[in-house]
Amino acid sequence: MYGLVNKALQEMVEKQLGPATWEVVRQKAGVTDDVFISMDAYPDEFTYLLVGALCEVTGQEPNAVLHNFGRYWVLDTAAHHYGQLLNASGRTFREFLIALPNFHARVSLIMPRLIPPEFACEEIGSHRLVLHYRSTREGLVPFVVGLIHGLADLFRVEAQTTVLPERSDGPGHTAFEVVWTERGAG
Amino acid sequence: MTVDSPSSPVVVGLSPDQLVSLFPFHIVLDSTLRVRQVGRSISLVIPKLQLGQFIGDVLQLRRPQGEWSVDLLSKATDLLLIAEHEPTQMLLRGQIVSMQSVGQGFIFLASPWLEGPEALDRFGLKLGDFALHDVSLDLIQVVQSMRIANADLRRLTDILKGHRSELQSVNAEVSARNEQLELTTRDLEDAQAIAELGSWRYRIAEDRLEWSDEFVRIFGIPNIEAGATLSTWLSYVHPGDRVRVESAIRNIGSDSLNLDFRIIRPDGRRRYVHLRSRVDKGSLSKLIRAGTLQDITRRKLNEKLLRSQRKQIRKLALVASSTDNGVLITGSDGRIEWANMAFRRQAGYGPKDLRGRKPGELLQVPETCPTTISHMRQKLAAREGFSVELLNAAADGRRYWVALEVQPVLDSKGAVTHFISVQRDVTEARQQQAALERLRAERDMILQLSPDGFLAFDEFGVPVYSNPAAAHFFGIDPVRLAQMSEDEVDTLLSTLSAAKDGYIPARDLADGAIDVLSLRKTRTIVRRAVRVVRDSNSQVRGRVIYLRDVTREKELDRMRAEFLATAAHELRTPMSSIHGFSELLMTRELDLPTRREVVETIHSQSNFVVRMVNDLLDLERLSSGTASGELRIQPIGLVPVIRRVLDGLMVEGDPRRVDFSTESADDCLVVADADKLAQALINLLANAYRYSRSKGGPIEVFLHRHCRQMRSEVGISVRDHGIGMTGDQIEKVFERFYRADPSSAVSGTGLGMTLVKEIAERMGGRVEIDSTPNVGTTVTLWLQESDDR
Repeated sequence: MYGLVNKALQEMVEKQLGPATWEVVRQKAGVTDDVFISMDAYPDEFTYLLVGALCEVTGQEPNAVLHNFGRYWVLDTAAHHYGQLLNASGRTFREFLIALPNFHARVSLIMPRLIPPEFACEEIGSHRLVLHYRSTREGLVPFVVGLIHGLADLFRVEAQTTVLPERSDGPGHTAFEVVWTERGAG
Repeated sequence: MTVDSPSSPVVVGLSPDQLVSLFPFHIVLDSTLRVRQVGRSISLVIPKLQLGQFIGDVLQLRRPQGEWSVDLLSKATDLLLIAEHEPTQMLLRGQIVSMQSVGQGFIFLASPWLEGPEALDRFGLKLGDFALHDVSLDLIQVVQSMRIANADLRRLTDILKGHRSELQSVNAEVSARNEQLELTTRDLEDAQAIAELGSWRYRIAEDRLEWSDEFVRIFGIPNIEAGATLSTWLSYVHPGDRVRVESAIRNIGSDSLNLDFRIIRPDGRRRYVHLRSRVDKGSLSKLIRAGTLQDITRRKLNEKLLRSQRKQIRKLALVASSTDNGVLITGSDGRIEWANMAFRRQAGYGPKDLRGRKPGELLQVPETCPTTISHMRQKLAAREGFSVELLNAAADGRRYWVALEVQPVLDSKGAVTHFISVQRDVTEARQQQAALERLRAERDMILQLSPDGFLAFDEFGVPVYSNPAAAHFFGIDPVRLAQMSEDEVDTLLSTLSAAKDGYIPARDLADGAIDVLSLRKTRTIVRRAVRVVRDSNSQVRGRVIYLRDVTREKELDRMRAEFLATAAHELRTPMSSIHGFSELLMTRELDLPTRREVVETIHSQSNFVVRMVNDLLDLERLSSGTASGELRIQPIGLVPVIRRVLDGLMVEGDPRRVDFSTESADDCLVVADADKLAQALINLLANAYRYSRSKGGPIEVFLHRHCRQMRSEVGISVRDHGIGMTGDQIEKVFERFYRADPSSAVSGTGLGMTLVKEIAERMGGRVEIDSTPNVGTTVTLWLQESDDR
């Protein structure tokens, strides 16, 4: 995992729970690095340990923490660091989701050691699509759901995400049906 | 159907739609350089571009420099072409493809130059506006990534700056601390020297020991050995402690060590040390046991001394609590810290009354000897011990004497920490001593006054006591006698004794033996008694020799025997006469005149017997004092008494005369019993008659006065001109039955002068005799003249 992720987690905890809590989380996780370099690769274990420690400290379930982190990633981290790129990724929620596969393909070029997840979109309606998520990392589905809900907030739509087991063909593949409506559209 | 071989080039053609989609920013120019066709996204960057418009009116050529022309473009197909849309400052970069060979113009395959993601916003471009093969977006992402990296870098730089600032502060602090450390190190070295505390460090893996200077000094080992192995160092540890010390130091599992042990220095001196240590567990290869080592020899010796003192104190406390003597402990300031039960009993104060008080405040009274108090204060001020006897007062006011002994208690440095006083109640002893001294004084007085001699010697014959009477018997100085041993006294006595050969030394006489010694020098006869002095265990402690002058006693015995013989003799003659004449009357028929003569003789002899018996009875009554109560001693006129006596004695026809004369015509008043005075005068006149010769002249009676010892005396002198007396006779004239002329020529009982003397003395007077043999004798009876005259 690139340092950007751990740094984002740090920012989220410090912003939402305070720097002292982050220090507790970091020490509980046994992570000695107190500064993460965004474009450096860190062992995935660091991130899992940090998330596990955060769950322990806050008493929250891992799914809730990861979901929260997904939303934070979109609304704070990406907006802060990739604001223009995020804006340029689509004029609408739909465009953004459709551009998601190419976006991650480009990320894989810039961050060659990232092994980023792969997305694929399958439009099944004007406000409905199936998003395929493939990753070598386990347990990050709640994070992806959080990402989608964060995007929905960004584009001011109400989105519902449903995992489609029948469409998921292996431990590394999860298919979501994403349905959205424009806010205020009733 | 024609199949091209793999090696032959393929002519690829793009439909206008494909061109529009694949190159969204391309511009197709005709041969006059007017716009014929544009890509799908060009309007986003050049909003007012019109088909047929001369390209030079829309874009300014930046590279190659020059004006838009067919010639220029024809030559620029292998150059990067950059043109600017000035109103938006949008740069388009790309290359020119010439289609002149087919009679057509040029294609400008362009792409907007985006310096960063913000350019997307500025031109309202989206990712979908770019062809997928266009790397512009990838470049933007790279740029963005670099910016993020730069932001990280700046953040890290800021952190580093912060760290550097902190480091500088830390460095400054470290420098300051280093300076402080150097000072502290020096202080530590000084402190180690003062505290006799050395430090050491043992590198376990390297078996290397390092130590401080003070450590070296404590061990007295040459400094060159610093850095030796543990074994080397242990060789200086006392063999009795070595195994224990080595085991403890090598046991790294035992983190903290506290050990007392002994060391033997190279100079042979033994020291006690205290070792403290801990293990610094950095890593196995860097295990270090570090610690301190303190010379505690002095402390150990002090502890030993203290233990000894405590033991002593416990003993003393036990003694103090059980003794009958009062024990008091005061601090160096003289205030009471502890008193035993006996003291509290003596003084009548409780522990709370005593604690913190000065003994003098409680116990001394005005009668306490000020000289003794002054002496005590001097000794206390000089921190010296002393012994005195002192009068104290108890809490109830009772006075009591104590024999007080005070000793200072010193610490190891010689400073006084306490005073211990032991006081014994000697009140009774002093009373006994006073009584004893009084008895001794009385005894000495008695012995001094005693006419009997006393000599006391101890069991070794050393003189203990002798009195003046004893010295008088021996005719030597009392001081000299007091220095003479028993043997020397025996030698002296043997010399003085008349019975030289028969003298028995006192030491040879048994206890209670009595003998009589005749001492030539002093002409005395003494009775000697010897008594052995024994103590309560019957052990002989000495000998007392008692000497009594029995010269007079012997003489009295002799006189008594003589008196009895004389009395018997004196009585036998008249009694024989009475017996003989009375028998004659009973056995013979005598005529009347003869019988009358016989009866008169009997009567005369019986008168003599009666007179002698009366004289003896009078004398006995006067001598024993029984007559004193019968005397009527009072002022009386003297002359009438004399005349009455003289008248009674005058016998008609007797040629002997008595001439009476007085100094004056006035009578003399004397203090006397008239009858006894008359009796004494009769005796004096009778003697004068008896011893006067017929032709010796008249007997003279005369009165005269003189003053003696402030008293006026009247003397009645009777003078005869008889046979007179020698000096020896005068000395004995007052003895009973003594007669100056023992022959029967002069009659008499030998009691007359004795009676005169007794009567005179009973009346406060005295008798004087002045006599010359064959000339005569004058006897004067002196009486006290009455003050009533």
